[in-house]
Amino acid sequence: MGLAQEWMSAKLTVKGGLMQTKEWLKEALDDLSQAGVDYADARYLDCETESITVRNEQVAGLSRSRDCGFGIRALYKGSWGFAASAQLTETDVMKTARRALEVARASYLTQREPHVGSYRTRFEVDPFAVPVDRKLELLFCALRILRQDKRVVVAEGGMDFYRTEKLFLSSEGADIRQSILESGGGIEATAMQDGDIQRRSYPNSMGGDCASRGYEFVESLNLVENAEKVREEALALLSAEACPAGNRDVIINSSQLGLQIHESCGHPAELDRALGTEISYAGGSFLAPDKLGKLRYGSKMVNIYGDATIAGSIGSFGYDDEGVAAQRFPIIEEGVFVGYLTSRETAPIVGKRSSGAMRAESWHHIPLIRMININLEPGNEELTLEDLIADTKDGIYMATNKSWSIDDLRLNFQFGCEIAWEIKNGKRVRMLKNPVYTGITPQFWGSCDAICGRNEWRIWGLPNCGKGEPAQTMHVAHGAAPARFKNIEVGVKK
Amino acid sequence: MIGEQRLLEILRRVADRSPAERTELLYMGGRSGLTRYTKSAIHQNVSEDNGRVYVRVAEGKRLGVVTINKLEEEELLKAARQALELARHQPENPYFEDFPQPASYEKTRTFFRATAEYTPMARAETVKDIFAQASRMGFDVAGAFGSGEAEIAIANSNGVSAYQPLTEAEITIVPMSREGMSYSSAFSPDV
Repeated sequence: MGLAQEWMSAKLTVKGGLMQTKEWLKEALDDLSQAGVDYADARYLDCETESITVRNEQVAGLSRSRDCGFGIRALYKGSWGFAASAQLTETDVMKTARRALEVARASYLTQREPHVGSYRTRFEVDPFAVPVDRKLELLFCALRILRQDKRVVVAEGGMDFYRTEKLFLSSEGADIRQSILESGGGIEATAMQDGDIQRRSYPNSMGGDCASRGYEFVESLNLVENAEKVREEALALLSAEACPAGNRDVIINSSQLGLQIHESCGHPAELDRALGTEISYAGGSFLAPDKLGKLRYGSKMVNIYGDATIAGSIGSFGYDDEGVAAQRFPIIEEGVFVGYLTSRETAPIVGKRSSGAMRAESWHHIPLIRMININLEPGNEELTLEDLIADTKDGIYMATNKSWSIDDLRLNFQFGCEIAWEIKNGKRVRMLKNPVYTGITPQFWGSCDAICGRNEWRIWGLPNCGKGEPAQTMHVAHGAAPARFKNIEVGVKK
Repeated sequence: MIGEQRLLEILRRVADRSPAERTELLYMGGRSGLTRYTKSAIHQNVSEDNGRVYVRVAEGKRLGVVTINKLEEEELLKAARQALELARHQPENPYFEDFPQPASYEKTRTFFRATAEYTPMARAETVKDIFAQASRMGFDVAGAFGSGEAEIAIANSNGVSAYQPLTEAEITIVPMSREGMSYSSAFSPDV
């Protein structure tokens, strides 16, 4: 039996036992109800991952893992408890439920809207059924093109695949089954000459792009077809001038703007951060509850939405880990801060219903408020990137993130990009290396004076958002079209 | 806690039955709890019981690893077969000679019963004391207090068979006032 078949077989074995597991979890929830809990829920997850990394002419990493277990949450006399276990026996399920009750602590719950439903990622090709040889050949083919010039000292490529089978039950009657599949990949060239090192990646840095689709998504990235451009840009950066220091109009490409949204809008709009429950670890937020509906966050053209309903994005799902249905809601509307990412517990504090943003990395993690797809709405439908450049007299166009830093309240930030072009009188006149820009969140978004249309809009998967203790990594995504920001501080002053 | 005898029995049996030239099984698992607090109130209290087995096989100088959080013998054998297939795609590792040979290990005390038996209620009592002390000094506090017990077991096809239980406790305290905040943390196997 081949590797792919063996994994498929393992998955079927688990599926065979799922009804039994469901019965035990239901019994545990009944037991908790009889013990007097106000509310309880149970999540069962079975997750498979495959990660492939190739560097230069060799396989640098090839791993598979499987992680299976369940977590139970209980609310007792206003106090929450959470316990999780990988031991799937009737005794262990009951013991874990009792442990959840034992560790219950302060909190409260509102809203009752039990859902019975299911959600499944649509895909064409199961990546776990694609032979490793075929995946490696695609990566090696792209890397051979990257390495055609000796100044490319490191060529790297990778693919990642995730499959999650999830069952959610609650004492209110929720009964939800979800099956989520994600695929991603990318390539990167590091070039070196005369003591300078430059990097260029495709389609994005930090592993490329990731979508809630099958292997067809990786094939659609056309890694091989784009390798030559990646190599040539990495080499051209070696002889490019450094980004000048000063204040300039800046056009930011879609993927970099995605990270800008993530750090300066998504994180501060998490209500648990705003309420201080992450202050000792992930940090707080400048978007305090008293600013809701009042704070001018950006210019009138800035509209940022949370939307977990976008097909094919890794920030999408059917229901969050409290059983709340995925939804679309405004965070910034015409530049004004109007909404948070919330949970059932926290939403009433700001007079709202849950936005369906409670998610846990795995079965052994407690759900926290996490980003979903946080997207900047497209602007002028007719405006293309080339139109925007043509409309810019003196500016810099920056693309693809290289580095980032932001303070714990999410106000003062600095981003570095892989590549930039200087714009003079509506034309790209020269390539620039080491571009950086810095700003204060509301002033930065307040300076936004143009956003390209839907044809330039793209959603970017970001599978490595960190938060919480014990630390959890979440898959989120950000959609954006290139946008222009006026009078932004760029470069490094000497 | 699964215990030395049961863990090593399973790992040794799989190492013996594995289809690979050489096989190593490393188990790391246990139970841990974490109490988080902010503004001098507990807001999160969790407990986790988990264990992972890293099944590493060698075919010549090619290595393959599969991770699984199941302890059933057939699941582990399946993982060994998958690791073997991954190994066949890997380049040779010129530095790899062999998995370790059996050896005698110095006894080290890493397990403290008081820490292993530390309950969520005990953690809550401790942070309550911290809240009281901080309040007397005009501070609110945020942070986290975790404790747990764990076990590590390893067996390989060369005959290595070793086991070590351990405990850990870790606390982070962030006192906050209108003037500012500070940070301190401590870690110990003995609470």
